Amino acid sequence: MDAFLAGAHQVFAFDTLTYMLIGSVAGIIAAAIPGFTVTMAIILTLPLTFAMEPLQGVAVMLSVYVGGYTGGLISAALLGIPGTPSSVATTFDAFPMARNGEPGRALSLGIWASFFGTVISTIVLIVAAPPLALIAVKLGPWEYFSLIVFALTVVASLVGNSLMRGLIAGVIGLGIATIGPDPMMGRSRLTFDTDLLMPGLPFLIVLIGIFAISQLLSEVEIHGKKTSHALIPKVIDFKTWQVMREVLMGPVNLIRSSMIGVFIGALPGAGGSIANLLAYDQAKRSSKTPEKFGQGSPDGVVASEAGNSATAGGGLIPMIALGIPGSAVDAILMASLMVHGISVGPRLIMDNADLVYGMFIAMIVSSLMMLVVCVASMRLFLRVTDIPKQFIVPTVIVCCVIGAFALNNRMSDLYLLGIIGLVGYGLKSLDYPLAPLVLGVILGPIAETNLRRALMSDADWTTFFTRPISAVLLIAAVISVVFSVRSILKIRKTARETNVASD
Amino acid sequence: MFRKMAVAVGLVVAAAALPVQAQDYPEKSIEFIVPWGPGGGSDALMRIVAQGLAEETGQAIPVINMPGVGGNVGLAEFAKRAADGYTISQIHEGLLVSNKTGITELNWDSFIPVALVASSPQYLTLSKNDNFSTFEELVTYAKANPGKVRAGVTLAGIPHLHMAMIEEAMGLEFSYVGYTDTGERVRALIGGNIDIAIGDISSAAQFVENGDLIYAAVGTAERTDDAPDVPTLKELGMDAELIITRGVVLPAGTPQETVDALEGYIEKVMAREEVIRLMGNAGADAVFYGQDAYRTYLEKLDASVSKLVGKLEG
Amino acid sequence: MTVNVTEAAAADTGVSAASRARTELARLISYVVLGTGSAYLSYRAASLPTSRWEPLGAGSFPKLVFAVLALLCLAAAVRAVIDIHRAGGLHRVGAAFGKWLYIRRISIALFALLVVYLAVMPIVGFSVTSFVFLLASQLMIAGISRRTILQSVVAALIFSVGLNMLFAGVFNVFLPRGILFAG
Repeated sequence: MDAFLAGAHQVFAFDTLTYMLIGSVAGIIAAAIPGFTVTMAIILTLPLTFAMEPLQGVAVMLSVYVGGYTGGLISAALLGIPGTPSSVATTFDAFPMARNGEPGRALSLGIWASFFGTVISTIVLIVAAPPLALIAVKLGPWEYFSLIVFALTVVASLVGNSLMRGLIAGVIGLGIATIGPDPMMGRSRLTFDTDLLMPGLPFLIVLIGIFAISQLLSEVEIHGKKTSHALIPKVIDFKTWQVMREVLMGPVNLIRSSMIGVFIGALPGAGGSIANLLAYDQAKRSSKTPEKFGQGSPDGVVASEAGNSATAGGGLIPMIALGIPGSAVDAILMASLMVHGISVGPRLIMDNADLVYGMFIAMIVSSLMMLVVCVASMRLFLRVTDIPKQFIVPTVIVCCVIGAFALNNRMSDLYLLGIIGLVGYGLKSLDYPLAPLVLGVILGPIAETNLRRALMSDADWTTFFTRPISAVLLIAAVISVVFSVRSILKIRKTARETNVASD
Repeated sequence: MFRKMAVAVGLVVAAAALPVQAQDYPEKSIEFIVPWGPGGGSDALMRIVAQGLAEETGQAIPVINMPGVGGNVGLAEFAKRAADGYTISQIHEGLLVSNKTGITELNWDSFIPVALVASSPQYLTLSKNDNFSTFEELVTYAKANPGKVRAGVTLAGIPHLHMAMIEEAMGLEFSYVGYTDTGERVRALIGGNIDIAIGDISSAAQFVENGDLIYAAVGTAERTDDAPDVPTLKELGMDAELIITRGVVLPAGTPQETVDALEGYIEKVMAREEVIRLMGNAGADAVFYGQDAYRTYLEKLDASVSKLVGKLEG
Repeated sequence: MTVNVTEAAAADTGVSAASRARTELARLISYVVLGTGSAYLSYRAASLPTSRWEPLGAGSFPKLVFAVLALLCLAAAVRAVIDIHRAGGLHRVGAAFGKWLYIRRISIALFALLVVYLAVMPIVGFSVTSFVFLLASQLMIAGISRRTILQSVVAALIFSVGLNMLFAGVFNVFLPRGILFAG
């Protein structure tokens, strides 16, 4: 209890709260700009925290982190471009909803879902961190590989109009992730000895190129008559409280999506981008009206945003319980603590209880701050859609260029960005779905590394089926495929019947 | 009038032709290329050095992370930068291993080694298991069961080199499982997915204290203050050093005065109480080897890597 | 009357069938390009050295992935050819392609500007190139008038020179600098 009070005392100091508020705003803005990411915002904050008290520094970083998971929603909903890697699925329903004249509702839904997602994940973190962390650590390469196989079946939910082109896009993603250094030995693969391809195609560059650049290029197409109708109705009603009730009225979806976020976040190596897509996929599969997904379904917005925000608390589970970072951001948090002389490991909660309690409190405070900041500034964000195209499109391109460069400080990444942007635009024009491609790029390296690692540990292929968790995940993958094929056949059949009927 | 102009032009030309005044170095900010991502061991230690250098020189020392291909992307870019002392970088044992295994053309002598600043002792770390809990037991078990002990390493990386040293010295045969960083290896060790790995203080000490992992031996010449009960490999009858050292380098062709000036500043940085304390926090020993000592160390290391590289290839 | 209506409807389906055939042709080209490319990459990956440390080498996974991609593209291409036949073959491909390009004229010009922007950046530096890129692309999208020029110059200044100052000054992140200008 003393430790709890000591932690609370440090978080609720005036200067800490002020820094956290600034951090929250900075995180939201950074994530809202396509090309800038949460990780980048945290890296920029890191040196500033060296001068602070340990808990103060971590609290500020957590506020940037929590804010960042929501900020990605803003450009996803208003521009149709995921602001961060973890808001890819958010674009599927939030963007159509905004285009249908309900941008206020789309933002409100996403913000509340993010808030509840963070809170649920923090509760799980407080209650169940040690056992969950132990499970996460016990998982070997077999389980990781089977999990990724299961996650790949999500592609079926993302294919849009054509299963074939969706599959092709997904496999292209798996393929381009193999270019560059081999994940095991660092040997060059398919780089043709060029400096351009030597470091490989960084995931973030692919994401920005595929989604942002191609979307921006198609924004300036001219289809006959000018379609410059106002996106925003004259009177905007955010219905903040009504939307809160709406989110809470779907508790199953909210809790399922948050728990997916927590578990994926707790697995070292997986992250918000996977949780975002998986939560969306599960919501679509268990919905009574899956055909509404992709047209502006509120359930889709809630699932994707609760899913990615819940990884914030989930990622802290292995870090606080065992000192193992759940994501790149957690690794930076740990580095900040280590510089202050706090060793993060299984004894953290015993040796520095006030710090751990302080982090729990800071998570809750950060999510409240995020909520207040977002609700207060939503109207301002909506003005973004009022800005004429000629300013938005070039400026966002420049932001993408900055974000792509600041990632690794490499000029060659910018050339890759241009090439991938053009390819993405071409694929988009031919009606290839782009989300499976990005999913392939995220999952491919994890699948390959763990497959090879599993076979190095034990050359016997059957181990994938004899380890129970791995077997369960593989069975789930098979069920998922069968289910998708059946529902696709059903949709085709109904389509044919309606055709016959109209003839 | 024309004479005056001629004099003025002459002065400008003369000024341009003069070599850089080393006393004035540094007169602007120095970029520090860390060829690794933020949050890792190199990054944390080099940020401490950069902070100290900024205070000693009075100039900003921004750290620029350029990760990729085991540090080789950043170093390739660094090699192209102007040799004027305003871009510095960092290398460790990994560069020599990458060079010998053919991943990169660059080697330590592609740069000017200025000073070795940090040394991280490496520990042979065991997972809790039924078959062995000390170095001697490991050797006995591994001799009886060749290829049965699973060792987590970065394939063709430093941990692989270190394991190969132990294999060679003790006449053992491990089977290898590839992991990319120390954190991943320690995680697999705790989860029981591998049996042995090379760990360090910052990533494994708390697990050892907790009883989840065992330090079987340390790779330094003397026992360490962090883990005084752990025997050295030398005590156990093996003549090899398992450490990772990090040092600051300049591009080839940098004027000697600049190298000397930078070496002088780093020497002052490494004498600072604050720097020594922070490096200790990050799990490394703050040390200072000047140009000559660092060069000698690298030459010796180069020879031993060359000897063992055959065990890593493939 | 009735005859006319049916005729019009038939013409209508004819148009949509023709446009469907043209779309399928465009896709067919993409399948062929992707398929050949991936077949070649799969072949290249197969020639990567194997490893004595593991059963799967560096080449196994890319070889498999690109082979699957090549097969998928082959299947898709066959289906596209059948669809084109069913839709009654191809008509007026050239004109349709011209129209397709015309709709995207600004997108294409914008991409061309992006290419020039990135190519010149290492020589001239971030600030100047970004300013020129922003100004040119804003005027291209909005059209040139006294008002748009003024607005564009202001916006371009803020997001080129301004952003560079923000990043260098506050965050110590240095955006690409040129040989001619440091910014």
